[in-house]
Amino acid sequence: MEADIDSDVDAATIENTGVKVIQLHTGGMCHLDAGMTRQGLRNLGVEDVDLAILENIGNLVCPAEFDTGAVKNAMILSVPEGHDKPLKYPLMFSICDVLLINKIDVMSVFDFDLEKCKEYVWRLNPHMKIIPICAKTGEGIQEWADWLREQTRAWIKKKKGKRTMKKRLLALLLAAMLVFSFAAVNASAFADSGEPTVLVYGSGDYTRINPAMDEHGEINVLIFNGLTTHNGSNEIIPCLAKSWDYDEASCTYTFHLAEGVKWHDGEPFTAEDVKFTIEAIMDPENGSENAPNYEDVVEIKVIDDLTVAFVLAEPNYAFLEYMSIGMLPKHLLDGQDMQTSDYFRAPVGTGPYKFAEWDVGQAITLIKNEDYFLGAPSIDTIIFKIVTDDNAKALQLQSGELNLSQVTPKDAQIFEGAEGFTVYDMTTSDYRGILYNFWNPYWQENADLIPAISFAIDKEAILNAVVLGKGVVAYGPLQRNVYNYEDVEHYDYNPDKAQELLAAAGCEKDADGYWCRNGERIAFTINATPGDQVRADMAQVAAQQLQAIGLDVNANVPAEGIDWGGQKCCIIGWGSPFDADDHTYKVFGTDKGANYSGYSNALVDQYLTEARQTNDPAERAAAYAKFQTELANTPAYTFFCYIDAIYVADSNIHGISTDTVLGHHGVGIFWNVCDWTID
Amino acid sequence: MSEFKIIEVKQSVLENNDRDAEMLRSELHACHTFLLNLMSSPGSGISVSA
Repeated sequence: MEADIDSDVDAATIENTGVKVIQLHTGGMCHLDAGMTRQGLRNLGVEDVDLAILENIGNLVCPAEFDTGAVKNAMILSVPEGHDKPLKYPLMFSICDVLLINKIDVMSVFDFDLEKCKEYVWRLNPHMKIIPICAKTGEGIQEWADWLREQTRAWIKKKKGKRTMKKRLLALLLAAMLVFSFAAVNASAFADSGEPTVLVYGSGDYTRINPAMDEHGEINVLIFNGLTTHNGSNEIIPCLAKSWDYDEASCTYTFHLAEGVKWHDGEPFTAEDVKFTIEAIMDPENGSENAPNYEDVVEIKVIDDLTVAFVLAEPNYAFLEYMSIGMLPKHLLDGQDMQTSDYFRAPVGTGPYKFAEWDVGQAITLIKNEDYFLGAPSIDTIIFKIVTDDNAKALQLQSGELNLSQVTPKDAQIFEGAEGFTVYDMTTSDYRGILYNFWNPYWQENADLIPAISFAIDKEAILNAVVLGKGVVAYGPLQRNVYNYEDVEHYDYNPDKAQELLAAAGCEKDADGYWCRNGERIAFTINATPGDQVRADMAQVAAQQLQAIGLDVNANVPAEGIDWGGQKCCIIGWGSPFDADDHTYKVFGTDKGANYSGYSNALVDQYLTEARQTNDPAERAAAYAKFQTELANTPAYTFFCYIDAIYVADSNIHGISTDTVLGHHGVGIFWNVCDWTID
Repeated sequence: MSEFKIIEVKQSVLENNDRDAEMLRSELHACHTFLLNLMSSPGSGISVSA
C-alpha cells in the first residue's frame, strides 16, 4: 500500500515487480491513521495475503504519533541523513521495532558513524533490531528478509484452531526498497493435529478461589461440588449427596453422600469434610459472605463417613439451595486461616477440573479430572485468562486469544453473524441499580429523597443506551423469580413527579437551578466499579438524567476501587436465579453478610424470615409480596434494569446451554461444562 | 481555558485512533495477515528511473 500525498510513481514501480499494490492518496494529510489503513487493506484485499506492507513515508513526527494498526513498525534511516537523527526524532525511534540503515555503501563519504548511531538508538529503545543494508548492492537484505519472514510466521502461528493456513506469502512492497525473494510458507507447517482440546475463557481477576468465603466465582463450579447442585432449570438436584431426608419435627436434614468420591489429591471425600466446610462458613471469626445462609444451623452430626445430619433451629426451606456450596477438604485446611491460607491459591476440590497453575494476574489453568465421580469431562484444559477490561475481551475473542467470553452488548454487535463465532444472549437474574450507602450520614438524613431520585431516572433509556435494550426494566429484586410481586411502586420515569416530591420535602432551587436542602445543594457522586463498562455507562447516564432536573450529581470510576464504607452511592448489581431467599435475606436483612448498603428495616427483616421458614408456596408468596412492597416503599436501591449476559464463543464449542437463567455477573454458564465439546 | 480544550480534543482523537488500531490488529490476527508499517523521511530509498 503506497501512501502518498499525490502521484502513483511508487505504485507503478511496485507493480512492475509483480506484487499486488494499491496507491493511497492522503489528500495532503501528513500521516495515516488506523481508519485509513483499514480502508486501504479492504481495497487491497488481504484474504490471500500473509504479509502486507504499508509505505508510510513522510515527516518523522506525525506518523510516529498515529498507530496505524500495524503489527510491527519499521523505519529506514539513510546514511546521508546523519547518525544523529535519533537524537532529533526520539519518538519515531522509540516506537519502531526494526531500523534499517540504508545506503551503507556511501558511509565513508558522509562521515556516518554507525556505532554512534546504534548507541543513540539503543539508548531510546533497547529492543530495536538494527539492520544495516544497501538497497543498491543487496547487502543486508537477506537479514531483513529473514526478520520479516520470522515475524510474519510468528504472527500467523499465534492463531489458534485448526483452519489450515492459507496462502502464499505475498509481499506488498514499497518503493525503491528492493526485491525480496521469499520462499513460500508451507501451510502444513502450522496445522495442528491431535492436540488436547483447550478452551480459553476471558475471566475477571481472582485474588483467591474460596467458595466458602466468597459469593461469586465462575471458576468454583469447575473445581468444587456441593452436596446439591442445579439442573438447567435451576432446580435442586443431588450431587455429592445422592439423597437426603428431612424430619419436620426436629428440623433435621440427613444427607447420604455418594460413594467413592475422591479429592483431587486422591484422599476420600467424607462427612467430616461437609461438617468442616459449613462450620468454617458459620464461624464469625472467618467473616464469610455466605454465613447468613446457615445461621439456622444449630448442630452438624457426622453419623458415619457417608452420612451427615444438619439440625436447624427453625425451618429453612432454602436450605437445600445453600447445600450447593462448594465443599472443602478438611485434611488440607484444618487449622488453616480460612481467608488467607495458601490453599486458596492452589485449591483441591472434587469437581470435574483440577487446578493446575496460577500465573498471577495472567491466567489460571485447569485440567480435566479423569476420575471425576460423575464422569470425566471432554475438554482437556480450561484456561481462565485474566482480561479485566470489557473492550479487551472483545478484541481477544476476535484475535483468537479467547475462545469464550462474556462481552458487553455493544461489543457483541461485532460478532453477530460473524463467521466462526456464536453469540449467546442469556437471560439472567442480574439486576443493576443505585445502591445508597446508609452508613454515610448523608442518607440517614436524606433517605426521604430517594423516591424522588428514582422517579427522575429513565430506566428504559438506560437499558437502551447502555445495553442496547438487552434486558428488562427493573423495579425489584425478584423479577426473575417465581415469587416476584408486581403490584409495587415501579418508580416509572416521571421527572415532574420527582421535582414535586423534592419541593414537598422542603427543597428549593438555587440561582443556578440546582435543588438545595437547608441551603445546601443536593449533591452526590455515583461510583462505578473500575473495568466494568456497563456500570460506568449507567452511572454516567443516570447522573446526566439527575442533572437534567437540577440535582448536582456526577459519575465517577474510582481507580482504586469503591470505598464501600465511605461513599454516598454506587452502581450495584445482585440477583440470584435460584431460591428467592438467595440474594434477598443476606442483601437486605439488617447486618447480614451481603448488605453493603447498611439498609435496616425491621419489617423487611420480619418478612424475609417468614418467607424462609415456610414450605407452603402460598405463605411464601404472601411473605415475599409484603417484603417487596415494603422495600419499594422504603427503598435501599433505585432499580434500573435486568441485563442479559451476552457470551461469545467460537462456533466449534458445543454444549453451552442457551435457556438456563444465569446469575449475578452472568455466572453459571459452566454449570454443564462436562457436556461441552470442542470440534 | 481554550488551550486546555484543544489538548483534550487532540487526546480524544488519538485515543479513538489507538482503539481503532487495536481493533485493526485483532482483525489482522484473525485473518492471518501481518502488516508492516514502514516509515522514513523522503529519500531514504533508491531512485528508480521511471
